[in-house]
Amino acid sequence: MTGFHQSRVLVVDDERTNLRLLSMVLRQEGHLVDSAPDGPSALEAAAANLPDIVLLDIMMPGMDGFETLGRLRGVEGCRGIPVIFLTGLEDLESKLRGFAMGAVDYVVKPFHLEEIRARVRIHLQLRIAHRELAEERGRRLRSLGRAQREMMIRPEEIPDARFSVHYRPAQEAGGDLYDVLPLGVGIHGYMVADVSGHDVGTSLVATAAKALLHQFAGPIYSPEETMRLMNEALHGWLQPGRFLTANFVRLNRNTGMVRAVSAGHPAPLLLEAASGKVVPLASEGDVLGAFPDARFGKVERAVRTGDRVVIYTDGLVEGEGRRPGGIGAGLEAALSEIGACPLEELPARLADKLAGTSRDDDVLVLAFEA
Amino acid sequence: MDLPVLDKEASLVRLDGDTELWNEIREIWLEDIQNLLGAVRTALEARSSDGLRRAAHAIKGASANVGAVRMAAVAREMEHAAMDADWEALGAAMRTLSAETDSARTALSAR
Repeated sequence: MTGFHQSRVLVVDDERTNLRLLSMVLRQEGHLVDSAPDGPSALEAAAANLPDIVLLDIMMPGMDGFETLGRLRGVEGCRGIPVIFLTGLEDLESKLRGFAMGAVDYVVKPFHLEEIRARVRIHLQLRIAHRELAEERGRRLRSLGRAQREMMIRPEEIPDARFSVHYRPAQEAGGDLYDVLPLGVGIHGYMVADVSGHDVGTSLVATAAKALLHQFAGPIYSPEETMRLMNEALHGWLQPGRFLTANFVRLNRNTGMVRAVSAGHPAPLLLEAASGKVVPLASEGDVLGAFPDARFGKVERAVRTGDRVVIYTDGLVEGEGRRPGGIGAGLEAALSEIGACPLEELPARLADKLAGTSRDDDVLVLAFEA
Repeated sequence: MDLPVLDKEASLVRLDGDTELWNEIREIWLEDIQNLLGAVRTALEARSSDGLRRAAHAIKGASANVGAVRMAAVAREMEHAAMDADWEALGAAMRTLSAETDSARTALSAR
């Protein structure tokens, strides 16, 4: 790159002196100029080299300027390109019709070169400003995503919980979230959730869900009560159509008991260290936030030291045929095969094996060991 | 008609005083005017209101650019008369346009 961007201007006029004048003045300004003597060649030129701005004569034989503009909007990439109409001084009706069709400006014939320069310049600047605005929005979404990731607890911050996690958001601010928190001495809670939708609102819901989890999780609440209270709070607050699916698992290392609650989420898997068997902690349940009196599935069972539990979002098992009960058969097989690898590698290896390189959905896998 | 045959100064103002560029469009005008005039004549004979309007529009544009202001004015009147399909007036305008073309050609060739 040369460090500056040369704008490409497409000039469309059936009148030769107009075409010559416009091409000349715009080239002198340092623009790249394509010229077309009629509508069909203009559409071809636009498709071959996407212009930054189009100067379009209204009155042309055959396809006139209005029709050309209408068709130009259908050319790939040309929807948002500014179009300046070239028109006669007295032709008010054409000007109004041009604006109604989305032209950004008009230049009156016969041309004044200074005016051409000024109008093209201002509309190119506006276009750049628009683009920067769109990029700024993208940046804000990215920083929100960063904030979200920074809010996610790392395994080394809470070593007693003995977990590891792999999180790959499909978009800048993802709708998947996890949290790990101490619920008492030797007791930890592990949550994985998936917020419906993929937009800025999704991230806000994810952030709110974590705040609620911290409010309602603790020694005095059972995991079901935590989910029920979260559901009540979310139901009063979420917009219709928004909801979360979630797993919340409590592991009590003092008693060797694991208790899993499911809210419309794929079942957690338990890998028994001694036998190598994979056991789904199957539980159905309503989603979070959609119904005032949601019911959640729950499973409780004994675990031994070294047993592992894997919780995940459906980005991991999407695309593979699911067996009844919402468990990915491929995930069970993968866990049997590589489940004994170092705990810190397990989530990423499962994600590599199953989700591959698909970027369609967030992928989140969390594993912890009893 | 009070307008001059050729107002080169007004044209040059619009072209930033670029005489070289003015010369270029003058040459294009001299090359094209016979065809443009032919298109007007054909449309008039065919009584094609639409064709006549477009042909007169093209002459108006080319002539205005080069500063042939009287020619542009006549073409503009023809363009409007074509919309009303006033064939009697258009026949007379055609004769005026032919005469103006000769004057403009003479003025522009002299440069």
